[in-house]
Amino acid sequence: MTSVHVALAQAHKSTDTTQRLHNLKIVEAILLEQKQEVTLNNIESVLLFYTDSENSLQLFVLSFIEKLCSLYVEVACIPALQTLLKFYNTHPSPVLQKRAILTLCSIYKPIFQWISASAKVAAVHRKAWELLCVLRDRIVHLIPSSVPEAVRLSIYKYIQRVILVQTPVSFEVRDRGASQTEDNLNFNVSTLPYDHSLLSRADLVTEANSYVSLLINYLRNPVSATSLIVLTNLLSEIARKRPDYYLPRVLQSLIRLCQAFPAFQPYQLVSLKKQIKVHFMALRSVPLAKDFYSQISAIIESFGGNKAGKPLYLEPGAREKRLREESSERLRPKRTKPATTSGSSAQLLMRLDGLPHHVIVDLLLAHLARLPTSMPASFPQIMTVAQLYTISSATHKTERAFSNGVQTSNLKTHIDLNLKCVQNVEDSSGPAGPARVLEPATGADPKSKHTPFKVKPVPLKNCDKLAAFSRLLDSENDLFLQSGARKIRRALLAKLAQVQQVFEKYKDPAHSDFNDFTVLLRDVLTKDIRKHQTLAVAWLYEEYTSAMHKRRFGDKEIPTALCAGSGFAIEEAPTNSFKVDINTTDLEGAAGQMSRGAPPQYLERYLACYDFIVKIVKGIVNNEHRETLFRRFLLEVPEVSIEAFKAIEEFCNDEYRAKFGFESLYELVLYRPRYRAYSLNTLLAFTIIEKKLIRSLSGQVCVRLCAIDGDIKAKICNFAMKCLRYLEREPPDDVQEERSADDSVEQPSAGDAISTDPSTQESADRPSKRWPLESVQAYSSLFFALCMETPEFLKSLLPVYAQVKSEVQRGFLQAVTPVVLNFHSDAIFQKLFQNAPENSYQLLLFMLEIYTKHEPPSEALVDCIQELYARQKYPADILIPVITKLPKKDILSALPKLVLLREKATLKWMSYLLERRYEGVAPPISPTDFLLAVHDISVTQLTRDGLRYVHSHCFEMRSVFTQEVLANVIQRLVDRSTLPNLLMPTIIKALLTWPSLSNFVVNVLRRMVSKSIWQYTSLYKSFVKTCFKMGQSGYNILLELPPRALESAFSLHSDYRRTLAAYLELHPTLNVPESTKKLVLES
Amino acid sequence: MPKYRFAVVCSSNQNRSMDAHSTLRKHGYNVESFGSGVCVKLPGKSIDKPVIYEFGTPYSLMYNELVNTDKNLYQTNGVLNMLERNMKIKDHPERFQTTNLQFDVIITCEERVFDQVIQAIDEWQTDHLEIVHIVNVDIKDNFHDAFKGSQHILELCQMIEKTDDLDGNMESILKKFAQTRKRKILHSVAFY
Repeated sequence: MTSVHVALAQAHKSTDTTQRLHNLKIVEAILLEQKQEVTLNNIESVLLFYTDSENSLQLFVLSFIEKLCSLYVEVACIPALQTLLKFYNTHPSPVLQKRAILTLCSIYKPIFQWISASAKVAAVHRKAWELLCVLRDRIVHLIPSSVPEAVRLSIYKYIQRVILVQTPVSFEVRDRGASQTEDNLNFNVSTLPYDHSLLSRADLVTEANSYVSLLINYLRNPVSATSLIVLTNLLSEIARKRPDYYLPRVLQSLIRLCQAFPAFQPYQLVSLKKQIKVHFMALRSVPLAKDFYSQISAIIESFGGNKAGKPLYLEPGAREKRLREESSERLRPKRTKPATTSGSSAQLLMRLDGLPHHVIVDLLLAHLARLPTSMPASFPQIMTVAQLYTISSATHKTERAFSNGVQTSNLKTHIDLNLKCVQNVEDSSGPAGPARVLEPATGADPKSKHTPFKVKPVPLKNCDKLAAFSRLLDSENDLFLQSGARKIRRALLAKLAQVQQVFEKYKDPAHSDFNDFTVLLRDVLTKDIRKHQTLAVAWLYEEYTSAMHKRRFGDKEIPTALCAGSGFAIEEAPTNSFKVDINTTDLEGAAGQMSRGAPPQYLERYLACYDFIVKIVKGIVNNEHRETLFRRFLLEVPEVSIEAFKAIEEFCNDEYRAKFGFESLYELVLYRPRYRAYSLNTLLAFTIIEKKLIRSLSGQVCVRLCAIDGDIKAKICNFAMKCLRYLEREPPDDVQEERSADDSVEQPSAGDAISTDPSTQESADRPSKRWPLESVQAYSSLFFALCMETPEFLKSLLPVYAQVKSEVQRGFLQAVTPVVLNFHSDAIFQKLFQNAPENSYQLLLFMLEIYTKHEPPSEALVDCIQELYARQKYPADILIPVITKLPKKDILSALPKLVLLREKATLKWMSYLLERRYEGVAPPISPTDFLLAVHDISVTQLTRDGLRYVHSHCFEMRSVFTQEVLANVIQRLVDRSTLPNLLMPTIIKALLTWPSLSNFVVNVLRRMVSKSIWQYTSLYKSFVKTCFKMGQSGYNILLELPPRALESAFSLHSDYRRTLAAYLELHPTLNVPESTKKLVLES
Repeated sequence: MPKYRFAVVCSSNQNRSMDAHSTLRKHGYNVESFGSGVCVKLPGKSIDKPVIYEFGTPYSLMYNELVNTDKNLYQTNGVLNMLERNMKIKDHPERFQTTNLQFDVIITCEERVFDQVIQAIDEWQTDHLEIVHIVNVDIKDNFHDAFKGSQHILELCQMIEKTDDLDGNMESILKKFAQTRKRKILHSVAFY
């Protein structure tokens, strides 16, 4: 047998591509068939062939990766992913690129499965996940570029795979009980342990969510018809496989697409419509699609489709229409012969034939209570058909299947009894309740096969139903899944509960035992709602279907509770649960409560059942993400009641369960369009309450919603802006009272920056009402939360900032800090600075300062700021945050303006300029050059104070202006042809700061004599003074002055001459010119 | 060597798909043919009495049976000639829903068949992740139209075979084909 090494060696040696490929296939066969051990070396040796220039070899490597990862993921994943990564770096041809993406698509699942199944996360798992993420990001980001169509389609497919893997399986799919193969193909995050240390289920789902948004975005802006067709296919598959996560969004986007098709070729549009029609047909049978049913039907009809397909419940009137069609069909002579049945079944069939289909099902229900716990094999078949009883084509089959079923279940006797009862009932004046049991109509031929029947309740006096019901309920979950009986039984139990209520309503004493069934059912649900949740949902559907049916004949009113139309009601939004009464403001009309009128009569029973269930569920909900019970009763039921919303509000108000409450609102907004307006209003109301934690949680949910849907984003942004603008107004009275009682609110330090702003100062001085900080935070928190994700939104803050009061401005400055720290780039500043209102300058400056605190500004930003400064649009303050990155010449030219700034600002810019602000970035100007430049600034009345402050502060920065620096500066100043005005102050301060410079200073002073210092009036006085302060060395310098200069020095102070005379007397041997000596001693 | 793998699908894999199969094979294309119906139907004594076979029944067996039943009738209506031709191409009609083969382009001959093919691909749940283009070219189920249709399919395949970037150029190819041949076509893309 050829070993791997031999085959590999031959593959390397061979120059013929076919031969190499042949050898590699031998290696592959050996490794995949486990004829030799699969080692890392072997794998890597094969993978190295990806560098070959031959396409066939590269394609082989990709196919090898796929096969290998499906079998030996733990050994192969790292080299495979590394190879793929390197492969991308080589910029392969489109064909190879497409194949590589599909390869990654194929291995994504096994690798993810392997990582998620690991009990202990090792380094290899981490590395694999990192590589997977890097590759994923790289591929996803390829789409916006002009990639070839094949690559684009592959990327779409890849994204779809990621979404399916990273989204938990839906309730329905779980309930259906997928086969093993299907499970394999549909592997997803559901199996990921919640405490997995590497992968977080919530993060993965959020990520998948964002990818769905990405695909929907591409659907809205398709590149080609082919892309659009592929996207509709992929999204439809996503919606079918993960309905409770994505179905509503996908449907919405498809509906939107149907409303405005892009301009394509006629054949492409026809193909597209055909595809969409097929998808709609498939999707509308999913329960969650119920809110879209009418829209979908209208679209299908407009595409020329039929209305086939069974919705979860029938629209009002539809059922009656079907019944009418059906009865007319039944009265028509049948052309087909019934299938042959056994003798007894045939007999039964004879009896059943002619009974209306719903009576057959009712009989079935009545006898359900008598069925044994373990059902016969044929039972699911009967019940499945029975469930379809409203469809005419199924009726006959139902009868036959039912007759067979009751035979095998030994129920024939009971059926006979009931049928006998049907035919023997003579009292036609019984209660006119809903159809249950049949009675021949007067004048009709009782022997006729198609006799019209009047209907009466079934007498079941002798049955021990309660015990049977109890047993049925107890064993609800015990039937094994694959039989399908559990689902059917649940549906029928629910029907039974609904039937009971009919009896109760009509107060038929003969059926009082049915009341006990409801009691039993309620007891069972109260006892363990988790176990019986599907039964509860089924019960609700039965009630709802019945209510819709009844509406046709009874109540005419339109349901108003909660379902207040499809539009948003945010303009009428937040409740008045916060302190400030926004009803009196611009938000007026927006602040109204959602109409909570009495529920329509026909839904009364449904809502009673729903509220009962909500009450039970509410008590057991905890704050865990995995809590699906309550979620199910929000997302899967036909109508959500006020009680459910009250429960959610209660959760949201409770800090322990708030997370769960907001998650529920999030899902309602996304997945229940009918309740979107109300849910969004409820959510938004929480964004302006005073509890910080809850406010922050609601803000986070709003941000997540904005990332998903453009319409929702527009509404949320609109609301956030309204809240923000509300702060432009005077605070309401109640706020003012509270404010005056609490003046000790901590002022944000950020507010210092605006305290000297003349405009704001003026407004602050005005005796007026003040906004409390809490209110400012409450009203602005949503806005700033949105800004965290969309920094461009800050543009809207500037005009508001310019209008609000100083305390509100302080609140804004405090809140804007985290937003600015979250900026990914400083490009936003360039947008913000354009057309910013005049009074918002301080805010911009503050933001710029925060941003540049930790990292240096980009060159683009520096250029932008310089340009704005050059155009004199902004004062020199604007340069402070970017001063570190300014060129030296620009700093020097701006220095005269900078020294004019107020003291605090001066301290800041000097610190930025002279001290090392950023790690690894040297200051743009040396201290020597800076101080020399300061000396060059002309001292005027305007600049004097500022210059003096800057000059003094230099000497306080001892670590920067060391004695060497100062000596150098002084030396260079003295060397100049003209001495600057600040020279003497510099010498004096240098001497005071660094006394050890005294000898150097003496030399400098002496040098100044040679430079005729007496000619510089402004300096001379200080010079003389310094010389006197220097003692003997200073005296010696003074004695070197020409007599006229010395005389003028004596005129400065009377003691000078005396001091110098005393010195001369003490040192008579000093070499002093006679004229000088005479001048000193003449007095 | 042909670049792409083609499949031609009609309802019974007797007339339209086999005609196209024959034509494409003569021109050296990598092609297979299939039927997508539940069973194979051949014209019988009257329009409501077709002769029905299961997929997988050899063409030779059908031929012999029909010869034995009423040679004149089936000779006259052209069924025997058709079966003779089919016998030379392959052994028996194949059902698309049961094939394991993979293709780059699937050409269907009827809108209903197009739907069935898409549905079949959707239900396969395979993990191969190959892109396949499904194109419908409407052809009436008679010998004359089948022949004409097969010529058009040949033209389409020639245009497809010329391109190196199938996914990128498919739209333009179909646009050109639809304009020149004035045929009602449908196009879809799937992964399987």
